[in-house]
Amino acid sequence: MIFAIALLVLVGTFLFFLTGVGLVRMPDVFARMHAATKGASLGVALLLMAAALYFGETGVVTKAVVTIVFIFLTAPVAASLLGRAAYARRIPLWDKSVIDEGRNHIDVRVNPVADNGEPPSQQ
Amino acid sequence: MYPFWNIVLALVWAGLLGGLSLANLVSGLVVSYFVLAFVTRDQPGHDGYFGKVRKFLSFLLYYLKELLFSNAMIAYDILTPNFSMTPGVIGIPLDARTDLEITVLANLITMTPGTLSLDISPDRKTLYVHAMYIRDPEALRADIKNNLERRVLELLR
Amino acid sequence: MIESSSILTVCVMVGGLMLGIGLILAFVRLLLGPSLPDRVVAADVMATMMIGVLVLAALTTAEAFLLDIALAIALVVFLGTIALAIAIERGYFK
Repeated sequence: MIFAIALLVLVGTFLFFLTGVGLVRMPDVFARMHAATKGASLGVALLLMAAALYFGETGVVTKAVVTIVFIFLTAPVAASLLGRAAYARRIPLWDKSVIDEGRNHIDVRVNPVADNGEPPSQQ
Repeated sequence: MYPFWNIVLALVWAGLLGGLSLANLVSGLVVSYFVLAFVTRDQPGHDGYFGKVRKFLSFLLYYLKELLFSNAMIAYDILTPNFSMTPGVIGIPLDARTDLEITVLANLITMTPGTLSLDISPDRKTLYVHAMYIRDPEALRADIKNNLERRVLELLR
Repeated sequence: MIESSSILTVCVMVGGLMLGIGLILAFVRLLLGPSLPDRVVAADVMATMMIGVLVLAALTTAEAFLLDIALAIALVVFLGTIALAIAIERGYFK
């Protein structure tokens, strides 16, 4: 058991380390987002699992599971919204990108959350 | 009906073992699931619940495999001096129609390393995805449609 | 609850080191930019790493209440990132 906890801690923090390196090294916003959302949320999930194993009480385990579920529900939403904003605001893609099909289709919306495909009403 | 009996049997199991602890409940759910699946194998409506659970488990395995594989790919790219990636934005025509289907699919695409869903077209027929490894746009499109989307739709419909 | 052992202590120390390096690198990206979304991503990652720091602290001190703080951070960070994304899209920062 102690070995499983130690392994989870090491792999989780290694993912954080990778995320940091990826954030600095990756060439454009979207590549950085790839490194950031997955690496960080997976790392936190592994660390929380380690904590759940370590404490082993029902209250702590449920709390850890709730936190993991919450992070895995919200991280992709935040990433999509931020990626959309960056793309619509014409943050340049890496110059070695091979294809860009969304350029003429994604544009700035006044209210990106309440999207019903209609032009926004003007107050 | 089957989920109800599954939970009732799990509660009975936990009660007999002497306490509503998490481990008792989970083991009760697993045991009663297999017992129910075996006992009711000839009943009508058997696949409605047990087929879904089996599909969910196989989807979970598939997704975990995908998660590990593409995480390793990105980790390799981050750690080695040269980038081997060929990023870009592609549009994926969707079969998913309802809000739930599209939301689940888009979030799963985002959580898979190497793909990040950006936006859905106003007519809700195309999902724009930023992908890291586009050797062949058509192949990637077909891969997402035939694997991830098919499995998600099987599960939700 | 598992008794602390030297293996776990060493692993938490090594892990803390890697987490610290990750935090510093994310902070470098926060300072460098170049665009606002870059900085928002870096800040988001730093907040997630702080959850990791709290979990490591919970492992070393064996105090379970630190996980409550981790949960609270996870709840709040999401809202900040969403708000900033909407603000970027609407063009509040020019």
